[in-house]
Amino acid sequence: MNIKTQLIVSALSMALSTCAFAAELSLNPAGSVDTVPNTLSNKALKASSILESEPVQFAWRLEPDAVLEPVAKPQQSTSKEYWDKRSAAELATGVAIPTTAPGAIVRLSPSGAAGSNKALEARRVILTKGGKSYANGSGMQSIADSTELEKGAVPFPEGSTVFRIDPALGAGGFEIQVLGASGDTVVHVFEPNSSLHLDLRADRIAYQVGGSIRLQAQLLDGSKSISAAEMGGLITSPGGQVREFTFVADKGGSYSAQISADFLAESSKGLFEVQTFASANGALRDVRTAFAYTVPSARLTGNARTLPLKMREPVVYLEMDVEVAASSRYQIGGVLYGTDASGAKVPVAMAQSAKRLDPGMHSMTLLFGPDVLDGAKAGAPWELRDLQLVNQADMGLQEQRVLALQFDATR
Amino acid sequence: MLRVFLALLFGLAITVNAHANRGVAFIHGTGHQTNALDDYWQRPFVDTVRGGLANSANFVVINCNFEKYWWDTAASGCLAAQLSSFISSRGITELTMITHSNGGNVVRWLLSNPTYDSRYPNIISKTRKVIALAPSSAGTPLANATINGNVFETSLGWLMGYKSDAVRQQQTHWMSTYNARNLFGTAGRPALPKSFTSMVGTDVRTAVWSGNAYCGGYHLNLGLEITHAWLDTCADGFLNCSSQSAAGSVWFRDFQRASSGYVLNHNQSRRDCFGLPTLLRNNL
Repeated sequence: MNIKTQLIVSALSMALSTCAFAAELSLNPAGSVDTVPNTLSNKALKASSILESEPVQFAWRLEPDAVLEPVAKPQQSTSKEYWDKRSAAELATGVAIPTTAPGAIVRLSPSGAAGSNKALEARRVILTKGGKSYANGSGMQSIADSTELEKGAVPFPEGSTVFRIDPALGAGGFEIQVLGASGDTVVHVFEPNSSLHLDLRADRIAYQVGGSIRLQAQLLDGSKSISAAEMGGLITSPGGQVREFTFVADKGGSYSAQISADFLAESSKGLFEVQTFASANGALRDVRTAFAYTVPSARLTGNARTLPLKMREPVVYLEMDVEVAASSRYQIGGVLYGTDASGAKVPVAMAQSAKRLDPGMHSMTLLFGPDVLDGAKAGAPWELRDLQLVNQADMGLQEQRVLALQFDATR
Repeated sequence: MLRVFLALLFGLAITVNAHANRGVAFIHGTGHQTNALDDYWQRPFVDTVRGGLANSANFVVINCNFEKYWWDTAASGCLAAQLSSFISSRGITELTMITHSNGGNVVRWLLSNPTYDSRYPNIISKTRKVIALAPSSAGTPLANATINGNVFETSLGWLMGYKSDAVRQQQTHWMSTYNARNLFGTAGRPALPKSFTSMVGTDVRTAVWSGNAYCGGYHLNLGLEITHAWLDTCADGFLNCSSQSAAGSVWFRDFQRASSGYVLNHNQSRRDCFGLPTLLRNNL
């Protein structure tokens, strides 16, 4: 923030404190894609105590031709892989490796803590198909043992080995036998040449307690949907909460699941993971997606205000009222759209502010000063879009409004 | 009355016209670095790049724990402390950040969340641009493969902690969520407050007869050959080109500007290979 903007902040804060110049505004009613909390938790997250103590605000320009998505769409995950975990005894007697295409890549990784198991070597793996055995690296291509993988900065666990099954051996049922393995081993099979894939998508990127997590999975051979013999799932939180769930077959060949979002609050900004496992005709697939989850402790009241002044310096100054149930550091942010010469609404600038708030009613400001509005190719009437209230303890989304406000600050 | 007050305040405002004092920061990727100058970048690389500054002493090599989540005090907190100290002690007014791999994500966290830490706004204001070498902006399928999908193994992984938070974050489905929620600069999202341009590595060459295979260490490059199997045809052995291009804008793809049209695999994009440091020096 430059000196000029700092001075304006001081002046406007003084002016608004008197309410003499303020124009009252109301947020638009929440739409179907907006996020609005039903209830607020009064339990402060553990991480809230170690957050920044100083209030901070910041704004920056956006290009008027930027095309911004109103609401980010959840990603669809696709997998041609599966994982299994096997004991040393199982590996010594032989483990089945079903494949659906030639050239499967097999990774073997010790699953204990780093250094607790012996490093695995591809040349000690005996590969068998149709009664014929391949040892000493035969039947394999592109072998990389732990030494090469670690030197290449690949993040596989220490002691891992990777090899490609010789495509000349074709697809179908293989067996691997590993002599001298110690401890448990993760057997990871990736089939880059296979047409069989498992897709998974959640209906949102972020959920709040009390909501519903809707998942859709589909097992496909190319573009053709196929029935799964088994389809299961698991949700794991950053702090270790685990929830198993089942899918229901839908018309059209896909599978869906609906899970209550009633997990406990966690301080971590890490994500919840959804893992889904499927099998069909002996083939296996695992796929994962992720979402953010929070137990909200603050919300927007819907009341806001601005200063309807014509000033020499362009300024848009907004105050939003916030109800807080648990102490933390909260962040508010939004994108200011202006009206260009053709009458179209175009992005002008992004602003954020954050400060520590205790339980009670407060106001938070968004300031778009001369540093971002000078020379802007758009002006009033304005719109405030993608308004977000976030708890910085877990970066949890407390409230989001796609189109929050329409106003004219220079009226 | 308000207008009068503002006019008085503007009258007091001092316009500062100082000559730019440029500096460069080298920001490593995943890992806990204590001597990134020698262990991560190597001196020939750093010395060539900083030679492009009017004052070649205006550089800092960051040493932080980027095994942690970006927002951790040991990661972005450490980065903010070292950058703030550098800016203050050297009087830097225009900073170029050169990042490699996940270092680009840590910087993008800082640029996207300027109110998270009171040191961030000053750092952002002083930043001229970010040059991201092979940034993992959309994650990598290799991180997905590492943090595997087995029920018991995943549960164990959380407890064991040997799979670093940084690797977990660079899974493609995690990056997709963070890019949509907490980070800016990707398609459909607001731009970052400062320019973020990437150098994209497109291939790994390990043929023994290829001059492209040896720079940075032949054996280091061999491991990237097998991992390429998890990736698209266009990839640097660790990251797909699409991930390296996902945030900001692309400055160039390796073969477009590297000497002899060579590619830069994920190890080579932080080393004195094929004229890369000279390209950076000339772009400070």
